[in-house]
Amino acid sequence: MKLMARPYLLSLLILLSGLAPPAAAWELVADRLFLNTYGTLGQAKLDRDNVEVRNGREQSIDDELRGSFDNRAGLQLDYRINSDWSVTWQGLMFKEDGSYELDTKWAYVRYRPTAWFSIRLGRFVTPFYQISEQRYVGYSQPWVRPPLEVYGSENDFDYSDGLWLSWTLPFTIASATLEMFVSHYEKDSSGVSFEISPIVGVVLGISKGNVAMRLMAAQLPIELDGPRVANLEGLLQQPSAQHDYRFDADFYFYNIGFQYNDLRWLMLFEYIQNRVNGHLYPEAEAFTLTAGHYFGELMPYLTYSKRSALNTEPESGLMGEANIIANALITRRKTGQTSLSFGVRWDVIPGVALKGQWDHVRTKSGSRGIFEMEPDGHVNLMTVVVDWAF
Amino acid sequence: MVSWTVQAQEIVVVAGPNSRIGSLSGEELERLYLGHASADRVGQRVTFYDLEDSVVREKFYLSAFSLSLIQLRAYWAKLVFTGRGRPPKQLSTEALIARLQSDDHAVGYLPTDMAEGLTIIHQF
Repeated sequence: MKLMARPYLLSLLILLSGLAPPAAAWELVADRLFLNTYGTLGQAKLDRDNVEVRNGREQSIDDELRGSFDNRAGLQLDYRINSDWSVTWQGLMFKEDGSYELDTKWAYVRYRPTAWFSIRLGRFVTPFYQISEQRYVGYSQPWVRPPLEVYGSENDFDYSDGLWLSWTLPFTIASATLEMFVSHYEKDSSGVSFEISPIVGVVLGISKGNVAMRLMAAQLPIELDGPRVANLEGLLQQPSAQHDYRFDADFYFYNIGFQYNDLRWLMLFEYIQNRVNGHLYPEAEAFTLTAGHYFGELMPYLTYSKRSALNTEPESGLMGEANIIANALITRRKTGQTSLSFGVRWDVIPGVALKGQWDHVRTKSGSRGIFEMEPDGHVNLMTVVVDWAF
Repeated sequence: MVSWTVQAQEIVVVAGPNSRIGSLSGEELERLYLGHASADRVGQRVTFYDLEDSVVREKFYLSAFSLSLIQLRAYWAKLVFTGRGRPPKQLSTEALIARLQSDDHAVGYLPTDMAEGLTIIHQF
């Protein structure tokens, strides 16, 4: 466990050893080059020995105390060429398959020709949900991790490459920003080519005083290619099939977010809905509601979240192997669950927060929820993390 | 040292003696200081500064935006790592006054009794 945590511990120790800057960044070249870092070091476990939560990097939480699910360290370099142009790179280090990997999550050129318009070209974390963009920056959130009902254990396509336009709208009663992104994502894995292109989304953000609201809609055309995919599609796409099992389909993501934050209270609400024009892929809706209260450096909070799988109607038109495969896919997507979470955030020093969270998770009968297999009754998840951002 | 007396003093937002920025409303101050909008005003690019003195800084953010420094830190973490903005540069009180006097596009905040000779553009 100590060996697993070493790279993250090292970065945290460097920060705390006096090398940390007094402000919120290292200015490597005055007014030009900025270095920022963030990270999370944690431990988590479940109270059941027959289930586990696994993320896309094959890191899991089970009944042993483990840190690799949440542990990560991020680094950002930001270079201002002049008042209009800048270049930003952000990498995220985490453990994958027994070794440490560094992924480029953000890498873009930004041009801001006027005060009310900017354009980013390159790679960015796709802003589907309210905190998608900062989901890895634990310090910027109240929880130990974003609610799993909404954010999942990890998005397989959390970043994409393309264009991001941002307009500040000329309102005087509130700050309003309209954003539009057009991007592309592709990945080849085990002989299967996975492509989403073009991802097109619109985000409207409005804030006034302590209140902020966000609306988002996006379309994601997905294409799967490869010999295995063609064979499977041929097997499932039969005239007798009750549902449409097209592999190339269009996803539609919708998101409504609301935040209230004053000196005493923090309130967060978010609702998402993911739809798709085919029965091969899962449709889901979820919401999460958080209320927290500030007591100086301490903030206890309570969160209630719910996820429902929407297209779980079984297949009855296919026969034999096709029927077994189709219904196995449909059963697998039954991820409906609710969770009640209680946590405390303690801002130990500026830039470092210690958090503890207890999640009480209940799944519907026949649903596996966020777990790899359906749990027998409720599951409790306990997590402690240290988050930092400088 | 200004910290020990600042609790009893008012904070004002100031610009240089020859600044053409004019007065800022509370909404404008929030929009500009919290990075909601880029810092352009009356056709000129304006640079906003923070004070290193955490006592004055805390009083300013409490008065202006009802935000504690802890909340502010988390807020800026969100903006910095999503490419949406950077916090204002922090200067000592003396360095800020010197900057305001030499740069008409600079804006900062100070205890009222230190704002002599500067243009007050917002009062709480």
